[in-house]
Amino acid sequence: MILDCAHIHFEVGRTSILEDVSIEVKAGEVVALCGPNGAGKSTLLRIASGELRPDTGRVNLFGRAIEEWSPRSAAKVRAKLSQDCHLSFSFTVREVVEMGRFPHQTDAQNPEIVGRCMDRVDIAALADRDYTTLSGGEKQRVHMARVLAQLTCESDTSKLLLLDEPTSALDLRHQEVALSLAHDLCREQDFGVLVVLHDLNLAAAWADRIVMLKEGKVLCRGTPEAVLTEEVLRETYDVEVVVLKHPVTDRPIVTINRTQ
Amino acid sequence: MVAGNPKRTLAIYVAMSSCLMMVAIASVLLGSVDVPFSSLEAIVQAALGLSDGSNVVPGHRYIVVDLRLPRALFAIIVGSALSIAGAMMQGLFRNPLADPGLLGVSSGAALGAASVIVLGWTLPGIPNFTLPLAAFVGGIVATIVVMWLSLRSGTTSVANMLLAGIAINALCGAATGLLVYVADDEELRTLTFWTMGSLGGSGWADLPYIAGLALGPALVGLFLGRSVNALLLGESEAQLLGVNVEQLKAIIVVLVCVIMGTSVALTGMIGFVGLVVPHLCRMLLGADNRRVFLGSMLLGSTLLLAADVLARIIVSPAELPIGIVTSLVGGPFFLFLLYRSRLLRVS
Repeated sequence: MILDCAHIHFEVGRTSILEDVSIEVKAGEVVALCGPNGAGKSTLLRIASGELRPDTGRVNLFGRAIEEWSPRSAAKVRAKLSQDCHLSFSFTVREVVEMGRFPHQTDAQNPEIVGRCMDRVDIAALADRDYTTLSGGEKQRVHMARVLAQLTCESDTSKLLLLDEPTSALDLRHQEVALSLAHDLCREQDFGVLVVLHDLNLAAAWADRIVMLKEGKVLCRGTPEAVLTEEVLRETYDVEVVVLKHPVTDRPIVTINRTQ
Repeated sequence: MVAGNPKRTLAIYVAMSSCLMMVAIASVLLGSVDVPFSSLEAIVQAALGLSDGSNVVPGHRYIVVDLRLPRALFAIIVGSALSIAGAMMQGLFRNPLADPGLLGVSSGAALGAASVIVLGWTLPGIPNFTLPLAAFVGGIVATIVVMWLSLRSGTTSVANMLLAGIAINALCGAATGLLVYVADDEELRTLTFWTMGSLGGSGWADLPYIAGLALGPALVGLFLGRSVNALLLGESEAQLLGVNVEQLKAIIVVLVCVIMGTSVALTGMIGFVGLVVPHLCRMLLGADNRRVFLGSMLLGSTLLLAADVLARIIVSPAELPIGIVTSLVGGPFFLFLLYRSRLLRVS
């Protein structure tokens, strides 16, 4: 088990954000975390990454309690793409991606690794650009490359990749680039990916399992086919939807039922 | 070429080092008495054992070796340390307009100095050390109070640090103001000159202190560039990248506090160097703090040394307080930065 969060409770003031939430990520699988705004998805991700301590419950990373990991050793096996990252200094794109190499020994291979990671998210052409002048989507891809650089190392052990709405600012093509990349990492290098997604069709297309959160509780979990049903989505989002079948992949497609 | 290109970076380092060498030579030659270059040559040759020293003019030797050389070394050390302290603070606050004074060190040191000057305290046995020691202690105490106020459940919040720093600066300023109010004319003059900074008192005797307590922490700071880069992504991002953020913040505060406390204690208040030099370096070298820190030390030492030469020759044989020179140059430059950042909306 790469990530094992069990019975997580988390409160801010008197407001309960998460109540008895358990979530597991195994090597080689993409788990999508879905649910309405304020369901606690990002908080759960921050707890899984160790940024926040849950009030009760435990988080194990590769079978070891997350508090026992040193920041540097955790950084080598776990990376997170956060929703917002404010960097107001004029670093070049290459330098930002290179920051991902922080936990590793600086070595001669770094430029090559950084170059490869930039290629994989299609930002090689931006390498010498001033980061602060990029568009939101471009910045998001830069951080994706940085996170990728962070998890690149010689030993082929599996890693945990946490993505908080990685596609929120991306165009159609780059949404596919980002998520197919996460998918490939799972299949080829045994990564485990936990990804917060708002776009249910992306979740349907790329996730092995979906966990549906609402008001801090797990409402439903399972394969995309099991979770993305008209009943579950009505209960989660309080909207009427039609679930279709993708003509090529057979995966579910969710769209609003506008006649009602 | 893009800022950060290795060749360009190297060329800039070489240019900065050459400037430093030239200004250093100028600083030992120029002043109320101009020493000819040939005298410097003779002194250097004698020092290296290449000549017996018979051609050295004794007066020139005294001026160069005993007066101007330690002063130049002082300027180099203080300039480089103030600049890297500024660069570290800007990294800590993730704001290019942050200044080492934000921690309360300078105002605390000023209060310490004012107490000694106005209340006429002296320490038994080491009367000459009373003023720098009081300034140093004042600066450190102010920073400790700021840090204590910004502690919240075991972690220090940078936003609270900023607010606490502002409050402590105001309090120290008020207390210093009270002392100014009760001071007589002579004390007032001493205090005013002290707050404007001077390298006039720097001799070989104080050099070990400034080398250990300002240059030492500055050199330690050079190793933090990569961590501070990560910190600029935000504290939780840095932690996720493997930086021990609380430890890093504590190290930066200690280094900056010791550098500032020592510099202010021995040379008084020298403004704007810590703010402006890292900025210039970022323009020349890009944002990577590994380069900004080293560049700041090189450029900061050159600029402060040049400012000291100016301070000595503008009203020769008298001297201008060096703080006036740095503020006179730094003030307009800071306004220019504000103007530019408003135009570009970068800050």
